[in-house]
Amino acid sequence: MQKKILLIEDDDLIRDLYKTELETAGYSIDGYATGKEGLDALGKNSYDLVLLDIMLMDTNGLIVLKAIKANDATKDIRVIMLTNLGQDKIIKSAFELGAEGYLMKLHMTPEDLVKEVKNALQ
Amino acid sequence: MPILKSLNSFRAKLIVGLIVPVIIIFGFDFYIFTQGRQLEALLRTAPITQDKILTLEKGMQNFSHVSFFFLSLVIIFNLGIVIALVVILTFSLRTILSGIKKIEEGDLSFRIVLNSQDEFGTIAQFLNTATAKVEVIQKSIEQKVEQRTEQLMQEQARFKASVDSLSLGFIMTDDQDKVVTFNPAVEKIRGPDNRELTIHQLAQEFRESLDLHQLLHKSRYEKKIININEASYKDKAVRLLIAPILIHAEKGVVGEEVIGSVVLLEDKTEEKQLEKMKLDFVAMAAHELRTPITAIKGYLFVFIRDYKTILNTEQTNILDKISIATTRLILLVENLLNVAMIEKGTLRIKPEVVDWTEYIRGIISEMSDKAKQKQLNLIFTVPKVNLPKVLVDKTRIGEALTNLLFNAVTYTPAKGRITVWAEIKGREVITHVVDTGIGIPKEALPKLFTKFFRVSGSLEVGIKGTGLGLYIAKSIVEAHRGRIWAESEVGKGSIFSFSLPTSG
Repeated sequence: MQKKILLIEDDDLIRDLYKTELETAGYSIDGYATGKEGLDALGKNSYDLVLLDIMLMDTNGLIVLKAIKANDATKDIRVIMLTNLGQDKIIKSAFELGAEGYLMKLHMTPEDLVKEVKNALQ
Repeated sequence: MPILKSLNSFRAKLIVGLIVPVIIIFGFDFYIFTQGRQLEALLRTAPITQDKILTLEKGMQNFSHVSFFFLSLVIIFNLGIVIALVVILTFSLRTILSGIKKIEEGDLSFRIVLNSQDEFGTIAQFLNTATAKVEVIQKSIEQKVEQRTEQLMQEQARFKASVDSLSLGFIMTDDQDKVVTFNPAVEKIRGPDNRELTIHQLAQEFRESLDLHQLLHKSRYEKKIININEASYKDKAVRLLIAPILIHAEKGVVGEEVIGSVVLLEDKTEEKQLEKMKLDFVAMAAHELRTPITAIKGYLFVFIRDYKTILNTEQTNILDKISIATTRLILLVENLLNVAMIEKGTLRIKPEVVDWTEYIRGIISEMSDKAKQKQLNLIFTVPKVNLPKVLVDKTRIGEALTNLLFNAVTYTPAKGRITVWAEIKGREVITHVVDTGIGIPKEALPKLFTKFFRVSGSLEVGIKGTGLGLYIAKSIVEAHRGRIWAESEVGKGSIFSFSLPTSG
């Protein structure tokens, strides 16, 4: 069955790039630019994985992560942070809040992302 | 005793006291002699009558009276003379002594009043003259001392005003760490509501960042100035300069004897805040740049991958150039972020055990496109013996090595060669990046790893750079407890080497 992924990323270009690449790899992707839209989508649909940016237009990705993990309906969904913030304390907080992985966008190719997603969904 | 006083010496007075009784006695003798001759003549004429006997008797009685009279006169006169002399002597001595006492007590304006012409009068006059001379000398000395004191006070006031108007905190101590003086800036740095300024108190306030007593002692003992660029003090950041006061005691100039210390305090809080704001801005700007670069890098990757087969050589060539520029852009942005982290002290190392040979191979393959583009031969000489594993933060040490390789590629002209090799030395793995580039002048080598340093002339030869790469490489290598160094010869090339401790 096709796996469903929620991609919350505020930069249109990057969101489109990753969406296309993951769809080509056979995943179903819902892409949103804001934390609010992402949480709304989580309330309506079920997802196998969330790819979550940290610096969003309306909120901080860590707050979204906290909300996902605080909700019984969504707390078991795997979340991978997808960001360009490399500060130790942010990485630490993300893992403490229940993130499954932490990826630095600048240091990987779209193919690397597909590999990481594949690993996470196995 | 006006007569005695008018005799102008004490000796004269004594002589008069002796002569007058002698004259009286001579007068007495003369009377006795003449009267005796008369009586003798009377006795020689016979006969002896009753009258003659009576005359003789009367003459004898007269002798007795006159003798008594003269003797009394001599005694009275001499007594008078003695008393007078004693009175004069006592008076004169007393006057002179009380005068001497007054002078001795410091009243140099006092003059002995003794209206006599004798030796005491002379002594008094001599004393008066001497005192007057001393008074003149003393007055001139006093005047000079006053002038000099005023000059000194003016100098001191000027010095104090200069020290007080400094924005630097200034504290002077003696060689026992007792505060001699300090300026208002010290109180400003210490803030309001403070206890009395002593070195002990200041050391207490500094105890979290440094040992002030020990630094003061060290500076005096080694006769050296100690500079602490930044120390936290209360909620502030201060710069501290501790200098020994060295003096040549006899000449009063700078010498070898240590008589105390000077502590200078500079409030760097504001400067540090500005620096932090600057670094925050650099970090923020660099981070913002990461987003569009991620998109460029991603799309470029997808484009080359998907359309490689249908692109002609020229098109592929152009795309390769865009790739190289993107890699350079990423390195620049990462360098800016690294500098901000190094400066803020937030550069952290997350070490893991790494196979160094494999790791270098990976980094080199990432750089090979760029080297090929510039027609450079980039070679990795694989060590003959297996290298032990190293404990490194892969991302960070990769940035350090990439910076070295990037420099080698940049500063080596086309058709040159870049060789990377590694060796074991003791408990360290040493990695060398050797190029056949333009080289570095000898005088630039010591400053090579300092922030923003650029070899003079490199702008002229048209090679870009921020002067950050080597500074970052050094900071990263040192954060791994390693060392970094360079050897070079202009026109022949450079060797950059760094050591890393092995994981074992």
